[in-house]
Amino acid sequence: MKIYPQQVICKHCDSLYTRKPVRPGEAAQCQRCRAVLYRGSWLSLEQWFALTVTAALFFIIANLFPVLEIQFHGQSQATTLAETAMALAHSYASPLAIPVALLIIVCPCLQILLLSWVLFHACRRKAAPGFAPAMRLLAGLAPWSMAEVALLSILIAAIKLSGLVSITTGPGTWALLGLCLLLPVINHQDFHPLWMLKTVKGKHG
Amino acid sequence: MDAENRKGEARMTPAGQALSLGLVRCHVCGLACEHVGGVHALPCPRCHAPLHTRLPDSLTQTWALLLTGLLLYLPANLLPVMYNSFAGRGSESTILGGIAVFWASGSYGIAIVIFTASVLVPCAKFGILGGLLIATKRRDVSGRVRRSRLFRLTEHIGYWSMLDVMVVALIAALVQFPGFSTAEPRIGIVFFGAVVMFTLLAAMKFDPRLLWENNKHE
Repeated sequence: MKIYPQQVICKHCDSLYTRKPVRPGEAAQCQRCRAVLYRGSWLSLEQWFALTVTAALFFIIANLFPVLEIQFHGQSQATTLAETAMALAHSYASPLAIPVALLIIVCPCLQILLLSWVLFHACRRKAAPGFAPAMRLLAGLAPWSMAEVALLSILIAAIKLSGLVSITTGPGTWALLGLCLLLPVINHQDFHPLWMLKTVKGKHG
Repeated sequence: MDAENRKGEARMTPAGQALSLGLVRCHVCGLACEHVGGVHALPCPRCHAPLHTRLPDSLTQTWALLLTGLLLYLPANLLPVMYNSFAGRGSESTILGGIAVFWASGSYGIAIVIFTASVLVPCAKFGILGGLLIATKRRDVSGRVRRSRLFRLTEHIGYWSMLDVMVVALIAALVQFPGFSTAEPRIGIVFFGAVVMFTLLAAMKFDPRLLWENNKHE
């Protein structure tokens, strides 16, 4: 089978283009359906890796510490992200506990781990062991990673409860904010330079 | 080069339609491959994902997932999503009821955010995907750029609907003061979570390239 690594096909309308270099911040746009084909990256592989490690640290803090705490008649109650998902498990909503845990904890965690693994090796200009399955899983995880939805829901829940009880945000929320700022940056880079690390057997067209 | 770079866009010149030129895009890694065989061709030589010119059974599966979501949207709105007890008095609330309470108490901002995530976004997805499916069936060629844009919009906004599910989970996790006040999720939220999942899957199953196919097969 012939392959054409220098060509790019629009995933929205199937138009074929020859890949051109773009400058940082510049986007190559499909002339037919106006979708963005790919973007020029501001980051080097090393900077991308560094931001991914930073995201991993934010992720750990966001999950170890409570995100919200309330005080009511001298009693207090705090919750972490995992306890939030678990709160669904002991009720009518138990079928949602595992999906919610997957969306707000497991998916972002796997994204960060896989990306760190791939980028660690990419910085040495090598394809990581298990490169193709890791990259395939990364592509599949992208639509199911909902850390930013969790952050907004914390804000809404805090406002909702603030009329009844005294409520404070925990360190987990601030770390989650950091994570939500970094995740779009590290996940929306152009993956083409990473894929080019893998040598493909086949005739180049 | 500078003339090419107005508005931060590189000028790209299309060489034609990949399918008619005998090429297929790997839906995972984006590699342009020679199209060998029928609809189900060889796997991608770079990432080993199965190559297909169009997502198999896209229209049927999108319809099925979308209609399932629409059907579940009824119990999601009619059944209570949360139970609250405060100082001995218990009450159940639905999604729309919760929004109405915020609106009545003057918290317009919150009411609008929850209304957008729980009502506007799911309804927009039903409307847009349904419209795209009908337009594809009719092979309607006018307004294809606009329809492609609408599809990309549904891809970007869809997951925000999970907001209410997580708000209910957070409140149930926090308000646990037996004797004083407790909060518990109710079955409606399960239906609502399922609606969001089904509409997300429907958008994933829809192949936007079908919007660009002409009457005669290219």
